[in-house]
Amino acid sequence: MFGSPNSFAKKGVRGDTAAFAMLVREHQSRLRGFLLRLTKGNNALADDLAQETFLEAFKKIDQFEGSNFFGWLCAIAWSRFLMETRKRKFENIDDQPEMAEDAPEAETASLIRHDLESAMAELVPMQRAALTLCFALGLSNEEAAATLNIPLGTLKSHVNRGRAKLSHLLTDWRKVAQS
Amino acid sequence: MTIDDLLSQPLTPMADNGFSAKVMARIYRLEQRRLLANSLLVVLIATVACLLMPMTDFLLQLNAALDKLVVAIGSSPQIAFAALILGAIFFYERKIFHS
Repeated sequence: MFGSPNSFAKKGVRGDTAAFAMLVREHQSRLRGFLLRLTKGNNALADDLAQETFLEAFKKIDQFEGSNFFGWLCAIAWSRFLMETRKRKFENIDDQPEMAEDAPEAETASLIRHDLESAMAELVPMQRAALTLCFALGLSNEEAAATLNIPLGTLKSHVNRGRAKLSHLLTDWRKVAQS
Repeated sequence: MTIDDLLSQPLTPMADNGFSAKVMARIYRLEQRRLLANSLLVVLIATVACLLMPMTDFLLQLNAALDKLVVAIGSSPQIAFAALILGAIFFYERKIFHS
């Protein structure tokens, strides 16, 4: 009915704010979910970063040339997240208390999911981002590497290390729960 | 359930709750500021251009042209006739309207 997301992106090049509004509505959920995982469940920070991401995307939409608009948004979101991390160098985002209680996951999701989010919070941001992009958001390895601006080999290494650490953490917690 | 299955579960959908509206409101404000800045720039350029242009000759020519135009209008029987008809129609309609 409304065309593909990329056709919206091309309309956005001509400053069509209505078309861009459609893009925002279409991608907000997944982008905020991605940022929520990066910020370890900090809803307010994730929403701020998502807003900044969409604003920057609108300003720079003429630079979008690829075929994956969501991947491009994630790349902007990732660079915004890194900037925020650098800005808060002395109060590192990763050292902030986890705000899982405020996250919608805690209210509705299963214990397994809650465990996954808690285990995810133990990973370094790059591993969290790589695993989320490759698995939960379904980007290809090449797309995820381009999004995070790292070589393909480095991405695979982050994915493997992150997966191994997650598996280790979840197994340990299961043992503790059973004992 | 393997770790890959667990990781492949889609992220929990986030309700919009006015998020898109907030983003678009910021974008509209941004656009308005950009338009305003562009308009001010055009006005500034036009002002500077007017100040730098040799206006004296232009104004003298404009004045002479206007003089000719006024004389031509004043001495034209066609325009006088047209004005007469317009005036007659005006008074006639006014009379109908008030009667």
